[in-house]
Amino acid sequence: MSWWLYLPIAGTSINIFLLFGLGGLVGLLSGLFGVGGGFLMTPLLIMIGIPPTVAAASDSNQIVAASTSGCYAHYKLGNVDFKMGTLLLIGGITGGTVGVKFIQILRALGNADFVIKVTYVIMLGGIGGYMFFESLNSLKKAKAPQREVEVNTKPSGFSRFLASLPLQMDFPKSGVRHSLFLPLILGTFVGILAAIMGVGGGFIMVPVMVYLLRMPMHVVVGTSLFQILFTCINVTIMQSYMNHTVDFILALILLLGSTIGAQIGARLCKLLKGDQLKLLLACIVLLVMVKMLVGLLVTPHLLLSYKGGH
Amino acid sequence: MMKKGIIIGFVLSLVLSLSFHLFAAERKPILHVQPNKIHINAFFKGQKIKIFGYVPKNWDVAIKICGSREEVTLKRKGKVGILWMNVGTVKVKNAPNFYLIATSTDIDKLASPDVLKKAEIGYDALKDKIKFESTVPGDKPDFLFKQFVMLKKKEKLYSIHPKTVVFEGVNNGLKSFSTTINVPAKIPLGKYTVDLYGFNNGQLVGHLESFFHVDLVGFPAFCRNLAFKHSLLYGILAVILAIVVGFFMGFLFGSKGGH
Repeated sequence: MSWWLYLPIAGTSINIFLLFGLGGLVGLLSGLFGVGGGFLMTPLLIMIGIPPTVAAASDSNQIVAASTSGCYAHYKLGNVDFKMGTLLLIGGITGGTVGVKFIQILRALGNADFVIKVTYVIMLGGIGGYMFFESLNSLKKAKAPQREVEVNTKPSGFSRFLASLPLQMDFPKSGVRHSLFLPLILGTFVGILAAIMGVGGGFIMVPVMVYLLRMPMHVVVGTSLFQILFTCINVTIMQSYMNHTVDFILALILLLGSTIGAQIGARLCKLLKGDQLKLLLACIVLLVMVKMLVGLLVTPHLLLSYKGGH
Repeated sequence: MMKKGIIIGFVLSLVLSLSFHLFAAERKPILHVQPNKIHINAFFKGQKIKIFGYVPKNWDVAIKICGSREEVTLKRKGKVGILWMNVGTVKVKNAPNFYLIATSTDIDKLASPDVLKKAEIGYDALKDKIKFESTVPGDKPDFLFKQFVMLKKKEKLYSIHPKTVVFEGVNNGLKSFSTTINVPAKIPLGKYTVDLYGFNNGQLVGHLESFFHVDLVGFPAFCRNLAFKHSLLYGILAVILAIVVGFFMGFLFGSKGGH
């Protein structure tokens, strides 16, 4: 029995264990942090010889399974805010459509790649750096609880502004009260950014939910997975229909690994404190940023490449 | 008696002429490709094919395997300030999707560059046949060709193997030759031409041609067919299966975890 499988859409063959292991690793991150993992999986797939367009599209098919698995596990743990998730999703889909149009205009103007890459590095650096120091500070403060209470009781200008928005409603699962428009607007904003950067958006959505919607970290992870699930269902069907780039055999082996990884990740998530999770995620975001920066600064081995990918 | 003599004479002449024909047939150079059909099934990870036959004993040979010619558009990286990024696209025209050369001696010993160019043997000969259109001003064809070959070599779709065609015993003025080619897993589907060029004293003296086909069979063929001919159904099925596996794993772990 050969442990190599031929991937009919990618047009190449790959070792089964390698794919299974890759899936497991990315699934673990997905269950732990509520990110899709496309930022990691797509470049890894390209590295092992999958054409870029097939890598990105098949990865979204794989994320459907991983986020179903992770979302189901988090639902059982009581970590999914469906009300908030649905509003963010509506905003996200609207934003995605706007973002795709925006990128077409940007491409027509020329040098879109420059704008995208620089935005990406600044966003990742900003978000990652802020999360890193904020969670590190809270972890330190947790050791001196009396000071923490003092900080938390002081309402900021931003919270007063949020409270003044119309159509306020309760989100009992997250334990927050917000205007109906806030998740819709934030969802749209993330959707636009995700479309411009060509990523699923979990990376930006998680910090937005934590810092702007003030949701508890564990509910953020579950709710983010719920959102990612629907985004990736849409991407998988569209890519299959328009570009024929989804390799189901590739996705199947990946998802067998990632669904198991997501389950383990969801359990690990419960074991860790919110601030510890934030700190870990911040480290990964910063690592991705450094990788992007290195890619921008180091002279590439090849100056020609195939189209597609993230 | 006379009748018998005629019959014997007829049979003898028949045998003689037959053996002469056989002899003549054996004297002709022959090119074989085995197998001449490559079936890609679910567990395909590349395959070896054997190319063999007979050529006149004074020949040196070059075998060229070429896939179909196509137009591809590639991204071109360049430097903007201190940053490397995609700065344009390069259209590559008339490049074979697969190119392999195997020779019995070093390529430059076979013939002059002009002769090799006609037969398209070696990267220098291939260069003139491929056209590049770059959106980046000042891009030279030489530079683009070098980059293009590097990209194709990385995928194992372009390769040159000097001195890999070996000769064996000489018989009736012909010598047998053989070489084994590794067909990579990434080989595109379609028809491939196998050309054998014979050289003697720096001159191109003979040409033989054969083919092989690369086709999908079994489950990969079914999958590809579904993906291209019933793409919406394929997409929906892929999503449903992913959700089912996701739930199944959740259920499996959920019941074990006792939540």
